[in-house]
Amino acid sequence: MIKTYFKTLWRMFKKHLTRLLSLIFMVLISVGFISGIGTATDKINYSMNDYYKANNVSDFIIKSKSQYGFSEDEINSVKEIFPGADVDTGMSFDLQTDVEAKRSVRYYFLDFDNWNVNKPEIIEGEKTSGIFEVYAECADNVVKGYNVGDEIDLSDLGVPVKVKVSGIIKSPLTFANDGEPSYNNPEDTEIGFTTTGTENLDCLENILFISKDLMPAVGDIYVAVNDRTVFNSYSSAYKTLIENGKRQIEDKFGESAEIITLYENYSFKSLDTYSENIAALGYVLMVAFLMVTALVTLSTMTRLLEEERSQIACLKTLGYSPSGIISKYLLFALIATGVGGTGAYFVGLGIARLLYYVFNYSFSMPPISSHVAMVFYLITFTLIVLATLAATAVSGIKLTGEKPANLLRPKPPKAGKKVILEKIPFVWNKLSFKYKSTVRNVLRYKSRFIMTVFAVAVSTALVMAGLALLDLCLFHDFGSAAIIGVSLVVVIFAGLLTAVVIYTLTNINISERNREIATLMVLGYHDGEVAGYIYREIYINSAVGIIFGYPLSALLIWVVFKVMGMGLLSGVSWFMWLIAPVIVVMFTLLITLILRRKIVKIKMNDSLKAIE
Amino acid sequence: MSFLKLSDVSKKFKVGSITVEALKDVSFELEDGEFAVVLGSSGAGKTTLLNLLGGMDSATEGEIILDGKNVTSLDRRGLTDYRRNDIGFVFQFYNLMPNLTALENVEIAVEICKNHLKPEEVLDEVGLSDRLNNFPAQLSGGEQQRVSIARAIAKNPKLLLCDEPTGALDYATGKKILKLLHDVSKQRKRLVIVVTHNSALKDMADKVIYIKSGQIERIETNPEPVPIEEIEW
Repeated sequence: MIKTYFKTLWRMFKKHLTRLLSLIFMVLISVGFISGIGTATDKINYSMNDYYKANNVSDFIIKSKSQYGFSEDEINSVKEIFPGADVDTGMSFDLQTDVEAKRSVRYYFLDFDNWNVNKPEIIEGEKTSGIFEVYAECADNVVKGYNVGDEIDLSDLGVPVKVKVSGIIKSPLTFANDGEPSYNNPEDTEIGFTTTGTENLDCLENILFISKDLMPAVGDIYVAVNDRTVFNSYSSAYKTLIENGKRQIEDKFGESAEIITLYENYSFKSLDTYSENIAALGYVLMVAFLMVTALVTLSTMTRLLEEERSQIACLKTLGYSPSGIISKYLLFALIATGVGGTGAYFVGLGIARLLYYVFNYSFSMPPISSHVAMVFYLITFTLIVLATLAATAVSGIKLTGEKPANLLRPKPPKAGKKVILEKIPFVWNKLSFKYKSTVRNVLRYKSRFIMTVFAVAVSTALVMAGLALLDLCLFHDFGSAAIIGVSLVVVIFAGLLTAVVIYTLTNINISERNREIATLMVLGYHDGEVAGYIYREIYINSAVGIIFGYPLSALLIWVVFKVMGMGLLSGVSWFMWLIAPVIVVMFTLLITLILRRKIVKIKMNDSLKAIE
Repeated sequence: MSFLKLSDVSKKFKVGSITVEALKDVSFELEDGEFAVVLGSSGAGKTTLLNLLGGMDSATEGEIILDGKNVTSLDRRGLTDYRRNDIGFVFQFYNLMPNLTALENVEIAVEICKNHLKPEEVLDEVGLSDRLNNFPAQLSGGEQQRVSIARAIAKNPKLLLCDEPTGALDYATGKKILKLLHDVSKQRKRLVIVVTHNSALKDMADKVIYIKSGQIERIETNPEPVPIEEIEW
């Protein structure tokens, strides 16, 4: 009994192999892509946690507004508020060097022998020896940087000495590459995290770290609370910690000190915002991808069950329970989504790594964390599995609920209907006969029409978003090999999504209309004419999808540019708007070309047989 | 030279390592305007014969010549043109396009062939002038089969092939359909071949071809066929 059951199971897999494969690919692409985007955000957070912990980044910088700085008592009172915390003291200020270009240089005076908070990474040169040797922040897109051995005159600061750069360092407080705002901006300046970023702000063109001995007054207190695990629970627990601490410091110093938390740190804040925006983009894409995947899976499973109609009837008359019958198909769906979903983990990991490299363009990112970030992946995977199982169960219950006698009778084909266009004679009468039939078919299978249009529109938008990024790098001097890579990945994945969706839907279309195709062949239609009968529909659906894809593209590009903090929707080269549909059309043509063989191979005898 | 001539036609199928001979040395001749019935039980080779006559499959051996054209030498494209211009096919299950009206179902067949008749006129002839704009789902089985016949006739084919045309119809409707096919044969002087397992139909045919185990058992000629109205089964 069980043996026979497994035999039928095995045969089902063999019979529906193409369907199994297209389900696997569908899940692989959508779960892989979405989890990739989500995982990237998680990876960024994990990596930053590790980095902040390793460098013991300060949670609070307390800056004195008095010109004499903090007294020993005041420093001790801060230590009392945060028992066990690492507390460093020092001094920092910015001197404006270029009023017009809004550029400043920041000078830190720190105790190099007891540098426990905001520990830097020496990337070139060596440790300082003696008070006349200093460190300089490494160069990026805005910071000019120094070379090891450069001499700097500090007379402008009222310290008539010359110092020598002994080491180039990277500070954990300034890892954004597109400029760090100086203290010289008005205090109420809102730092914009949109496309403009730091453009209109006074930014640091150099950061120097000088020995405390040249300026012993304590203007800054750097506090790193002892509980470093708090970073793991971004961001609610950390936010609470910051708010409480800030209140306590304010109670102590009142108006005489300024408190700069990590949330006021430009690098932290902008990375946090970007990664949150990417996550938001991930959720947007997740909804779109999940909907497309669920719709396509639903129609695949419904069609599969429909083809097994007579077998289900047979099993029912033999006394198999509905749950026993349905379980077979649930297993099929589970295996398809399971295999696809497992592979998707690795696809997602690859995409996450790529996106991480993109962030390296805007930020000096620490090495990628080896933490296993599976939350996003598991959520997407679970949703897909549940949606697929639910879809299968619903179709299965509907079918097994019917009386065997009804099941043994063939399901009548969907009846034809007049369409609304026929009420407009001057349009309808101008259509050639072939197109009248196509128009009716398009509207006869409404759900498939909506599904194809939706899937193609989403894919077009994704292709367009990828191209817009590519355009930015190639023609607008945002040159970055990483972004070129990512844009290509997006274009390829969007193309693959289109291909799998069109393949699956066309495949269902062909098998559903085997009889009509066979009849046309008997009537003497040539291969090309028969294929045209089915394909005109697919092409019209795709064309409508591409049209809807344009506004969706604009929206997606706008979001992507906002998230990445560069580029303007209006700046995208006009020809890119033409390339996207061409790519989608090419994928569509390729798939229909591949499936043409399936149409041509249909046996005309099938049209003579009883409807099965 | 006969209008339709089959000489030693054989058809072999390979099923795995076994070769099955579905038709063996089939030969017969039929004339234009004749109403012929091919009789045989299921598995006798009727469908295979129909497929070869209708250009849906090629014979392994032998020759089929219709109106001087050698069908057996045609390639895939040639066979499609043959079905397009020379053959009218009436199916057991009508095979109408569900999304096309009765009229459009006839139009879809004629729009690709050369010497077709006017669809409206043919539909009028089969008694459907008031059903032109109905979809198949809105028509009875008999009416659907009439559309199917109209579709076949309107192509103005040399040969009208009917595969169990009454198989899905009730007794009375089936008789009317057979009468219609007979009329087409006589009034339009067309060769009509009806393939069936219903032996009662033998009396209405000019020629009856008995087929058994892939071979012609015998061929009978009726000097005086009985009108279908007088036949009971």
